Amino acid sequence: MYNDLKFKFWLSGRLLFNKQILFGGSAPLSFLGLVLGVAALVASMSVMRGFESSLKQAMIDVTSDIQIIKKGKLIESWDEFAADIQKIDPSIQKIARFAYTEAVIASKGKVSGVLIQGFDFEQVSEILNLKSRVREGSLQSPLETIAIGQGLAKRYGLKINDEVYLAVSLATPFEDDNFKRQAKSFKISAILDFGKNDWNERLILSHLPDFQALTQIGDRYTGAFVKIEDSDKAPELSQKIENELGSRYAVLNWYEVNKNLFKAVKYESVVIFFVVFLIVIVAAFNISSTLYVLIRQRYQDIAILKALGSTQKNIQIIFVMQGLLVACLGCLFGFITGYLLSQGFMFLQTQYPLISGSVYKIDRIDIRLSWIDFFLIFIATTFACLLATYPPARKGSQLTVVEGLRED
Amino acid sequence: MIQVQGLRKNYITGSSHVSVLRGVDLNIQAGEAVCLLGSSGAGKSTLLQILGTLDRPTEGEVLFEGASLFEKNDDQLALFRNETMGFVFQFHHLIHELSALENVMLPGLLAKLPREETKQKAIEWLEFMGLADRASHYPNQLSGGELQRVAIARALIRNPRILLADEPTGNLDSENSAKIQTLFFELQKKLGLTLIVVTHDLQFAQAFSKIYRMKDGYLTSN
Repeated sequence: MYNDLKFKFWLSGRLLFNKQILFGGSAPLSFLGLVLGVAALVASMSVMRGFESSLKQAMIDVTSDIQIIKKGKLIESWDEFAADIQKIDPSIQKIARFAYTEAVIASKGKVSGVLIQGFDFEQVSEILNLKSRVREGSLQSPLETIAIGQGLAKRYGLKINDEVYLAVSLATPFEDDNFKRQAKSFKISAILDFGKNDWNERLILSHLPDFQALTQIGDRYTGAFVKIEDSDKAPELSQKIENELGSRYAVLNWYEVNKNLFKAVKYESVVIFFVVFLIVIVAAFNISSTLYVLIRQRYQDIAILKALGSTQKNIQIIFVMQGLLVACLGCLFGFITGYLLSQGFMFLQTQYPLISGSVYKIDRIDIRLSWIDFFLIFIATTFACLLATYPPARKGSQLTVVEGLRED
Repeated sequence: MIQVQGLRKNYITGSSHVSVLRGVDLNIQAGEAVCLLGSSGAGKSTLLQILGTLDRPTEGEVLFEGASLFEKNDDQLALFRNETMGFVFQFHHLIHELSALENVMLPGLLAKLPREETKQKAIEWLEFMGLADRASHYPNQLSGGELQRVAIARALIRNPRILLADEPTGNLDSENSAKIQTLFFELQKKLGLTLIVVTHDLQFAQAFSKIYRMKDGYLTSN
């Protein structure tokens, strides 16, 4: 059985790879169509996967797997709170406190709204991956310095060591209509690419003591960053934490924060797969028509094989195997071309602003090639090619010896 | 060994009805060398194709050792051909993408025989044909006589009992033609083959023990 299959595969390969087919007629063009179809699939899937993964990574790097925020009030006793959280699930690895508030930045005659987040840089470094996002300067800086996003830096023309003013409104619970403000100047110690456009435009990171002094909240916190073992399990675990803590706390996970966007990316991936797969289907039709021509040229060989004792089924298998071979090679070259296209896209991103951050939330996509995508593309392409080669293979196998020999 | 009874073959092309064989009766004994002689269009190739189970008759029967051949389905006939018959055609009909050795191996590989065993046998046959040094050559690198000898080796690799040849020397020069003719009889004697050859070459035909003449679809003389 194995030897017989090996023989058929060998013969179909030998009949397929000859100079006339490789360098003449429509066969190379049909094959090129298939390669381009597969390459387009690989490139589009890797961009979609990359988009999803870049967004996910940005979320985890900057906001952690799970954020717990106390609604309306601040957390008074951190140690007690942290111990309670730690008990909820053994997969919780690290917890770090943070506080945030809306603020106004003023510099070089410009003013705009920002979000200041205050935390202990050393403590959060075990949870957030901010170091990898530093583009200029350093996060290891003295007090009264802040880190800003690259969008904000660009908009204000800010550089390292430039000074900006941050103003916050102070809580005045007894006089709702009385606005009290507090302002302070800070030096810029780092410029970051937070990975998400609105963060790059609005987010400012400060040392916790600075934040507490500016907002006058004392030793209190807005919430906690939580790192867990497996980021993909964040949605389930955040639900568990929410159930344990009750309605006084808002529990957000990286997925939930941009749930609609992640869902949209998933649906778009499926739609794009099928739309781009149409190219492969068209290429498969081209291969089918080319195979009709090739089989027409093979009438004598088919007749001889039959005269020598080959059955109709054997002939059919030999030509269907040609379809399989074409599909495999198309996938191989398509994967390589798709990979190169993806790398080209990566390079172009460094040269030109291809992705609009204001539209897609992120302005740079890391290409991600997934084995699952390769496998799916391979299976779909092979299936399309086999389906396309079956009719010509069947027609060829039905040829009688006498008809074939008459082709002299 | 082979009995042909009332064999007819008609072709319908459009509105015209062509009778190529009009009732042929024939007996061929095992080990005989039989020649079918006749002019072009007499029906000798059609008869050979039916004897070789490459085509089915419109009417009549072909019995092989008493059993009707055309009661078998196409797959059974393919197996029968592979095991029992060898074919040589006017044009060598070798597969251009395969070397001489690979062409000779084909019937064995189609019969699912082990590759090494088949290869060994093919080499032996090529050596017998004096083509050992041409084994790796492709058809476009061989001369007419060499091509036909490779085709004969291919026909014999499965040790067939019957060798059918349709104008095997029709495409060769006189020197190669004489060599192939000699080879046929040498093989027939050596292997005890039943040899059925279609030719219009009278000189070649005279060397056969039995000559059948065909004219207008009839077997006219023995």
